Amino acid sequence: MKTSRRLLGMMLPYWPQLVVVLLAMAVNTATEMIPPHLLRLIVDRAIAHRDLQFLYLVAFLRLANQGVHAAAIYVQWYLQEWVGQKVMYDLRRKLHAHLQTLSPTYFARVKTGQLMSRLTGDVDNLQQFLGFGALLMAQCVLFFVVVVVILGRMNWRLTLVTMVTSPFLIMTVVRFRRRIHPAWERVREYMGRLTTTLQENISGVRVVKAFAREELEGGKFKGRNRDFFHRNLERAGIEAGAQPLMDFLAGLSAVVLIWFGAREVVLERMSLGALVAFQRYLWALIWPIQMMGWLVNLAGRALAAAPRLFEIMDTRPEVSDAPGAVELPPVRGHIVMEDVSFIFDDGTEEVLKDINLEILPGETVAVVGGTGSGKSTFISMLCRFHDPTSGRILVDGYDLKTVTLDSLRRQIGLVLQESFLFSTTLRDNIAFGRPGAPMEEIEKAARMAQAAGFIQELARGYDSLVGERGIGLSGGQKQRVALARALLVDPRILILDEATASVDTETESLIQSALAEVMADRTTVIIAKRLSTVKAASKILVLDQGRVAQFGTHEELAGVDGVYRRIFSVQLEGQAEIEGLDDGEVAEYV
Amino acid sequence: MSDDLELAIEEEDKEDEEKPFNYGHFRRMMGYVTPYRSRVLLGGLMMVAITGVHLAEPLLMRAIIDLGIVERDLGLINRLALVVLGLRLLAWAAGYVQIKIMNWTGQRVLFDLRQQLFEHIQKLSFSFYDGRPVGKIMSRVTNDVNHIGELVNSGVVQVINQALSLVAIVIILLTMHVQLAILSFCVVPGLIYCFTRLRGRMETAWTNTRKAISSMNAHLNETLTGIQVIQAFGRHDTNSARFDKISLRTMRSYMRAVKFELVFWPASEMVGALGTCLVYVFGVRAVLRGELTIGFLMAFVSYLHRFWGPVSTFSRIYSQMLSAMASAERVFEFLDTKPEVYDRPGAIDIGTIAGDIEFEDVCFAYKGDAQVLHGISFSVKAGETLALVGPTGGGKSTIANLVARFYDPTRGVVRIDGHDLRDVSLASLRSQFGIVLQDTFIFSGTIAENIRYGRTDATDEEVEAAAKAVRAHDFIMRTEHGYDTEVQERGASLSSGQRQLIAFARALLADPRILILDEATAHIDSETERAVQEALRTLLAGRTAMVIAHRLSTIEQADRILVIDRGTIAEQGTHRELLMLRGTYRRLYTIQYQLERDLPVDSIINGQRLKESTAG
Repeated sequence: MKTSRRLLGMMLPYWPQLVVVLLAMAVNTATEMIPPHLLRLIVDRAIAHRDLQFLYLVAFLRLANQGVHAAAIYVQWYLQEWVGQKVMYDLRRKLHAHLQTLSPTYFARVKTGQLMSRLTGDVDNLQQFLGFGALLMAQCVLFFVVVVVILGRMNWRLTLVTMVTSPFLIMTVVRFRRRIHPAWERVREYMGRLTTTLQENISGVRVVKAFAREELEGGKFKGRNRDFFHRNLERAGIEAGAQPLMDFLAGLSAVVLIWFGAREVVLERMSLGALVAFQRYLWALIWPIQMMGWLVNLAGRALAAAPRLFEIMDTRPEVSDAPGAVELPPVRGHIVMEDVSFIFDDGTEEVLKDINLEILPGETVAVVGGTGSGKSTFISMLCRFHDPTSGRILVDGYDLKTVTLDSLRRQIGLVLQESFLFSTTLRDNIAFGRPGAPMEEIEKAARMAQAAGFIQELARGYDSLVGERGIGLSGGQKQRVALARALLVDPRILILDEATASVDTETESLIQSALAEVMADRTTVIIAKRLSTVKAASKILVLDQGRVAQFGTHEELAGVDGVYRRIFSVQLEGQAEIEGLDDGEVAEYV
Repeated sequence: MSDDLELAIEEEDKEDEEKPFNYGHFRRMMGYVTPYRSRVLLGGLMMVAITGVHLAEPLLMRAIIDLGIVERDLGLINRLALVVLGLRLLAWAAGYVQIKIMNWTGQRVLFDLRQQLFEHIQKLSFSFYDGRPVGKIMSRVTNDVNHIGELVNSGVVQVINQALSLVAIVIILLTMHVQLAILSFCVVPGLIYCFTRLRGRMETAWTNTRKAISSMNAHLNETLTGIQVIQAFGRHDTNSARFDKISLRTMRSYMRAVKFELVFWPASEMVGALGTCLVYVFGVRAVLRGELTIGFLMAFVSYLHRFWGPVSTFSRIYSQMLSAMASAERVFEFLDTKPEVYDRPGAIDIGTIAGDIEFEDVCFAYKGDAQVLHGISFSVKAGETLALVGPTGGGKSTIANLVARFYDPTRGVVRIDGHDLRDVSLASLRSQFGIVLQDTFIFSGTIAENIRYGRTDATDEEVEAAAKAVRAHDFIMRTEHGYDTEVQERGASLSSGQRQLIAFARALLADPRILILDEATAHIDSETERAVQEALRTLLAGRTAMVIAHRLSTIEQADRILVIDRGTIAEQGTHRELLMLRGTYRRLYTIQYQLERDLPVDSIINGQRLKESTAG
């Protein structure tokens, strides 16, 4: 099997440790088997022969054995866990590094939640198996075989009789494991449903209260709560059916052992000491069976988890440095697109078709277009999140495919519509693109992005934590921090996805004036939704179904009946109302 | 994030875990079990029966050795073996009943507690939800309640059972042989050391590991959600380095916990072995002197083995209990939070509202915060539309919240149709309100279910009519299954404008007497703008409305406008009146005008190019 070979391959670098583990396991098994034998010696020799010296010797051996046993257990388990952790550490590191090379297309296809559950749940399953599952399996088999041999040599009839219940025990264990796992899955699934209902209710509490729906919501929750309760009872039913039965079957072995063994002793086919020892060995006959049920399950889950993780690792990044890619020297920001077309891997439909355009250094180009016009794809091509399917993109004459990703992206400042901030301090967030930037520059960037004002008002200023554990920022505030983050790297090319998030009028105009200032001396490409932004741009690119519909200045485009006019019709009409205001009056307040 | 910072946060988390056992919480917890005490009693009895079977076995074994084997009495051996078999069958049955019953009660108690908690937090006022992340509230209803479950489920009954069996074993050992028993108890202090000190440190190590794992997962989650930022800034190297560090720390802390575990178990086994050896040495000498039999010695050692079990269980359960207590405390904190807004005794049904709203000298401060409203007085006549405008944080939303009685004023009175809101029942009041919030919340379910949210009994025709009235019908029909299209919490498949239209339909269908609208500014793209404007007109007609307005069209449509600034009414009047005042309103209006209708800055200043741009 390919999966298990690959898993073994991951463990291979640690073979010396694994050899030690196996040696320690042998010692562990041996020292586990000695105490019952010593007990037998006490009964059959020390007591039977009234040999006190021998008794002391045995007692000493018992303690010494325990010491060796402890040491063996320590070595075995410590190294075993260490190898498991090490393998998982390597795997996690590879996965983490690899994920960061994958393109937005991948993340659009695979949901974050899904990836998280692979990276936590699947990695966890794998770790449990590699950490102790696999070797514990070996140990179970070893114990079982060794004990059967020992018991068989002591008294094979008794061994056979004692093992009569084993097949039933195995059956029960297998059946139980097969049923309990899905039962737990169901419990978890219903917990998930309960959680979803709860989360929705809490997030939407204002709506719930506004419509006075508390009672109905309570009823909905009660239904989920009751379902969860019932799934738990089902699970408990399976446990109640199996666990006491397994205990009984194990106990039955003990009863048969005592009954038959006592007869054997009375019939003088075996010594009393042997019977007592036999009793002590019994657990090593039952424990591996009970354990195996669980371990086989664990192995199954690990083998199911591994391919899912390998799949991530085997996903080829859409964009990577070409062999011999050169560092892009500091650019002026001259962008040329030649016959650029783009098709997603899976899609048949072209997202961008034959784009030809030139953006001069320092120009601001507003990109407008309806949903699905290809605006977002257009800007991600500039950051080289995708490579053109045909045609080429040049920055200062360099084909983007021939330069290293890092050297390109470090000269681009990207501000997305949904401003993502990391849960760390504001300072670290702004300095994200340039860790260790001096405080003055951070503050300067914040001032340029109109973020300095509200940051200074915070109790801890730039040291305020953002995110779940920290302060909550409004959409507009986040956006300005994201803008400051982009400005700190002093990008030659600035790419903005104009946010339409709800910010109040004053903030909105603050952001706009901030933008006007920073766009002044760099090449800026902005996905614009507002007429004011569009009009401020040097050129407007109107995209329609992946094609360049119009490209020119506002004056040029507003004059012709085209896509541009259609998009902004409402806003353009609004201008007619201006006449209601007397010019002079307005001016005083601006 | 720097490591110091991370550590500081972890320290903070640790605080709530090391609290002493709280009997008050414990008693209160047990109160939830009381309704099911007969079941608990039955379950407990079953448990005791099982323990009894286990305790009887060594004695029977002794009889088999001393009377059966030594006396060579095969008949007795058969009979005794049958007795053991019988007892085992009994334990099987008891085990079945016990697992079922204990699970039933445990889960039932959780069901009750979860339901109570849920219904309680639903009653709590907005101030409870303000500044509490959803995740934190969730975690109390799910994780903390589950945690308490462990305590109720197995903890308490286990403790009693184990305590009983511990006492029984000590008595059995002492009655069997006093000197030998005392001799074997010599190792108890060593055992106690193992189980308290070592165990405690082991638990702490595991707790640290769990924390390390969760901070690793948090980092992962952040990498995934912020992937585009990381890639755009070319910071994957530093990010990977950070992950490496956290990952390595997780591994170290895991190995540390493993180390403790590997010291703990062998150490306690060693102590046990020492006790057994002592008993063997002294016991065998007694056997040789003829004072004891072999069967006796074997039984004694068996009991000694069983002695360690309860001790181990105790230490495990105790630490479990401590953390369950911490959970209980958090849950009780929620349960003890009193709703700030509730029905007064004798609150009346307000009846059908006409829609007159009156604020009389209203002041308001959020809990423990500075006052946000200072003596607000105004009135709205039934059927009027009142627009609230003003800068963020000025108090607009607070005024809206007071009308719907999400809060009570700290001073002054809010009246609807002349009734002080504090005298009327919440249900009668709110059922006549329609509220559309800026952040439109869509519940998972079909579009129709979402529209029907405020009036569950509305027919399909009514739903459709409402959707048509707010111009939502067309886009709904364009979705895959029309009104039956499933939508999600954050409504990913719907644009924000579409979500808002659904919220409008929802409000319209509920046909409220008073409508409160927190209008979103820029949510709406140009394409849906017109639809929304028309929808609003439909929505506002025929009812009293209070609109926190941003969009010019809404502001202009309002019968009256209040400009709220820093908790006071700065200006009020009609659109025309306020423009003439040349105050705050004028300034806000102008800015909005620029943004929305694009009056270029320079053209306003020059007053020259105005005509040109109008023409263009």
